[in-house]
Amino acid sequence: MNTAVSIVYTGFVLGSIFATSAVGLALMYGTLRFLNLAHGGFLIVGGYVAWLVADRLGVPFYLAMVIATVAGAGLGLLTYFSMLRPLLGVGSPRWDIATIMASVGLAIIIEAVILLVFGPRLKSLPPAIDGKIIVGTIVVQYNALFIGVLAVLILVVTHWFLKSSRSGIALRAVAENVQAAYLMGIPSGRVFASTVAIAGALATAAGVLLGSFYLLRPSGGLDPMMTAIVVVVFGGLGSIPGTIVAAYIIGMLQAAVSVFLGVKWASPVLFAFMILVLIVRPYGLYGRPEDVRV
Amino acid sequence: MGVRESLPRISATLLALLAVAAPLPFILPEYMITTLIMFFIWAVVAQSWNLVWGIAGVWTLGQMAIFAMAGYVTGWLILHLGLSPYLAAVLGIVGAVAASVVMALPSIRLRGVYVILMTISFHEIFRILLTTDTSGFTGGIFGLPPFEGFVSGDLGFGERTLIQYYIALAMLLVTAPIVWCILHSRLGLAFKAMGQNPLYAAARGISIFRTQVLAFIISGVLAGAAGAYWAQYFGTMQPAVLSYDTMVMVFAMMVVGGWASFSGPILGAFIMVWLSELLHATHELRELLLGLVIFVVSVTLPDGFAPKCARLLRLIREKAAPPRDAAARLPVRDR
Repeated sequence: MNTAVSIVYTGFVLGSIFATSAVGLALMYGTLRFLNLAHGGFLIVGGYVAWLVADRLGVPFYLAMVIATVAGAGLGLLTYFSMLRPLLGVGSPRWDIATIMASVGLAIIIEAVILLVFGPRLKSLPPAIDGKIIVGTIVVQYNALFIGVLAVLILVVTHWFLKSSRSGIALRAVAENVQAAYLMGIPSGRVFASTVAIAGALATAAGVLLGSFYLLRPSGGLDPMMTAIVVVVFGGLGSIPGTIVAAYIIGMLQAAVSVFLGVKWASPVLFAFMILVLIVRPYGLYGRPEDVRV
Repeated sequence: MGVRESLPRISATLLALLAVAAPLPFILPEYMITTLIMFFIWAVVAQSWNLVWGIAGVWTLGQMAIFAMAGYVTGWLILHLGLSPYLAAVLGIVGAVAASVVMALPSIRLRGVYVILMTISFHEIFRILLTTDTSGFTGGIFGLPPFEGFVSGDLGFGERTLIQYYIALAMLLVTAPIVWCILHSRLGLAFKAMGQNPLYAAARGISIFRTQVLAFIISGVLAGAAGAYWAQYFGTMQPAVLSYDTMVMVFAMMVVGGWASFSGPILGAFIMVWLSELLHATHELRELLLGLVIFVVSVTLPDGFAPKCARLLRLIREKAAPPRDAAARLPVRDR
C-alpha cells in the first residue's frame, strides 16, 4: 500500500516536471513544425534570469518569474527574426533539417554565453512554495504539487487558446497552409512571431519552475529537453492533451521502474517502452495516423 | 550519367587525390596529420549518415550508436577473446550492421520526427547500458582498458601515425567511390525516390522495406568500418563517442557540408574538423564561435556548402572551356 502511494506520488511529481519541460516545445512543434533543440537553452535561461534577479537583486520569487517570462518572450522573438523568418517557405525536409541544425547552434551559443557570464558553479533557486506535509511515510512537498498544477494549467490554457480563441485558430490556419491563410487575410508573419514569443515565454517560465527543483548549471537544460521531446512526440505531433497524458504515463512508469528494478533501469525501460509504443502506435498517443503513415 | 561511363573519371579523380594525399605525412607537421586522420574517419561516418538521412530520407539519429557498436565489438573481441585485430575489425563491422538492421526494422512504418525518437531511444539505451555497467565488461564510464590495434605498440609514435594515416586514407578512398557508384545506380535512384516521396516511390513499385533495410545495411558497413578503425587507432573505446556533443558535431558535418549530396558530408567533415581544430586557440570562446558558425550556416545556406561549391566549379569550368550547344550556355540556375 505504501509502495503504491509513493509510486503514485513520485510519478505525479515526475510527470509534472516532464509536463513543465514540455510546455513551449509542444507549442512550437504543434504550430510551426519546429523541433526546437534550443529548448533546453530556453529552460536554463529562465532559471538563470530568475536566479540573477531573485538571488542577486533580492526581488521576490513571483516577480522574478515574471521577469524571466519577459526575457523568454524576448529570446523567442530574437529566435524568430534571426532564424525562423529567413527560413520560412524553404519547403518540408529543408525546413525541418535547417531549423533543427540552427536550433542546435543556438543551444550551443546560449550554453556558451551562460558559461561565460555566470561561470560553471552550480546555482540554486528558492522553491516556489515552501513547506511540506507528511502522509504515512512519504514527504509531500507543496512545491511539487504547485508545479504540477501550474504546468497542467498552462497546458490546458494553451490547448484552449489553440482550439477556441480567434488568434489560436488563425495560428493553426497558418501552421496548416501559409499561403491559404495569407489569402484569407491572416497576417502570418505576426502570428508566427507571437507564437514563438509565447512559446519562449512559457519555456523560460517552466525553466524557473524546474530551477526550484534541480540545481542550475549551464548544460542543465539537456536532460529535461530530452524527456520533453519524448513526451511531446509520444503524445502525438504536438497535441496538447496528448502531451499531458504522455507526461504522466512516463512519470508513473519511471517511478514504478525505479521502485521495482532500481534507478539504473528507469531510463532504459523508458526508452524501450518508447520503442514499443512507436511500433504499436507509430503516430503517438493522440496523433492523427494520416500525418505519418507511408 | 551511368556508373560504367564515368569509371575513367572516377579513377582519374582517385589517382589525383592519392597523389595529393600520399606525400602529405612527409610535408605537414604531425598535429596536422592526426587532424587529417580525424577528417578521414568523420568523413566516412558523415557519408554513411547522409546515405540514410539525406538521400533515403529516414531521419535516424542512431548513427553514432552504430559507430560505437563497431568500436566496442572490436575492442571486446581483442580484449576478452584475444582475436587478431583484423578479424576483430571485420566482426565489429558485422556487429554494426546488426545494430543498424535492428534500428531499420521498427522504423519502417515511421516517418520524420518519429524516426528521430525511435533511433534516439536505441542510442540512449545503448549509451546508458554501457555507462552504468559495473561488471567490467564494457568498462563503464571510463571506457575499455587500452589494447593493441592494427599497429604494434613497439613502433615509435611517428611511425605508428604514418601507418594509421595510410589506413585511414585507404578507408576513405575505398568507401567514397563505392558510395558514389551506389548513388548513381538503380539502387541509389530508389533511395532518392524514397527520400523525396515514399508514397509515390512505393506506387511505382519500389519496395520500401527492401530499400530502407538496404540503406541501413550499407550505411552500417560504412559507419562500422569507421568505428572499428577508431577503436584500433586509439587503442581504446570511450563512451564519449556516444555523447550529445559528438553527435551534434557529426550531424553538423552532414548539414554544413550539404545533406542529400555526395560531396557534402566529406566537405562538411573537412570544414568542421579544421574549424574545431583552429578554434582551440580561442579557448573559452570556442563553443560560442562553433555555435555561431553552425547557426549562421544553417540559416543562410539550408542546403549547405556543397551546392554552392558545385556551382562555382561549373562556372569556372565553363569560363575555361565554353560548351558548344546553346542549352548549356544558359546561366546555371536556369537549367
